[in-house]
Amino acid sequence: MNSKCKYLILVVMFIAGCGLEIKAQSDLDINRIFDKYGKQKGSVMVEMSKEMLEGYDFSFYKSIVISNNEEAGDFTRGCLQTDQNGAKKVKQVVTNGKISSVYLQLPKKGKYNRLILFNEKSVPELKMTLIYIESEKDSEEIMKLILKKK
Amino acid sequence: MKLNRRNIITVDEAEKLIEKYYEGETTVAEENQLRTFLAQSNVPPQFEAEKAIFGYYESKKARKHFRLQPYLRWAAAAVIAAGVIIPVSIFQASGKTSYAYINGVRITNTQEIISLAQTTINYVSDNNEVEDGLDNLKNDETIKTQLDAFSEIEL
Repeated sequence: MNSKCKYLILVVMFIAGCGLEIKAQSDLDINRIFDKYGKQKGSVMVEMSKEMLEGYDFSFYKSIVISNNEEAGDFTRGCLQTDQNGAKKVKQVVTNGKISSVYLQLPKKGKYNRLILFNEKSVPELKMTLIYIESEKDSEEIMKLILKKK
Repeated sequence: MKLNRRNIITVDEAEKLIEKYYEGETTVAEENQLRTFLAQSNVPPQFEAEKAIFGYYESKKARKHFRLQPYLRWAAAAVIAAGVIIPVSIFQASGKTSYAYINGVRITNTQEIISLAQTTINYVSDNNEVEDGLDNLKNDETIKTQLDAFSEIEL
């Protein structure tokens, strides 16, 4: 086997190995939130792939709910600040000078539309929710799908 | 040339064939007979040189036989690549990447994961701000409504 062949196989195996982790959200700063807080006490993180999302017509879903962690909220706002570059800000609510709610429509990745939903409530307890969604449907339809499931 | 029943030539016949071989007059069939003769384990010592010559050609032939052509090497690489990528794709598509963590405890139960996702979505959609966001997406009615508030102001 010559060196070209070995090189090709190595490259293929590397790409395939990385493929396990590579997802469309991997280029986003919010990934750090899932990594940092996903497995912590007080957090509920959910990741769902296409098969479990048929009812929603989503391709990928990832969310995290963090309770009573002010630092997590601030950290998330910082990440969203980065990710909103190039994104369409569908909606933003600022409460007491802090972003309490924001919906970002990210640039399309391949055939998938991507949406980030962030919401933070302080009553009855401090609770931060972050959702990342990929879907072939457009943002408006994604929102409708979310409302439909209420 | 007369051959014995096992198609193995005698020593005399082999000597004659070797002479013929060195003169370049042997046929393919005769060279095969010679090769068969020299491949035996009990070949007399005077044939060592010829055995080496034919042995060399045999090994070269064998190597050539098992040598992959360049296109076959690429094909083999492609097969290996497919062998790696396809199972990875199947694994990813199989839904095994769906999971949840509650307080650091991993959950893989499908119903529980769906339920958690639903609850999470409700946290976001419970406030009616979602509908407002939708309205903003649709058109510029919000701006129009806000501007209308100033329409009655007299300058």
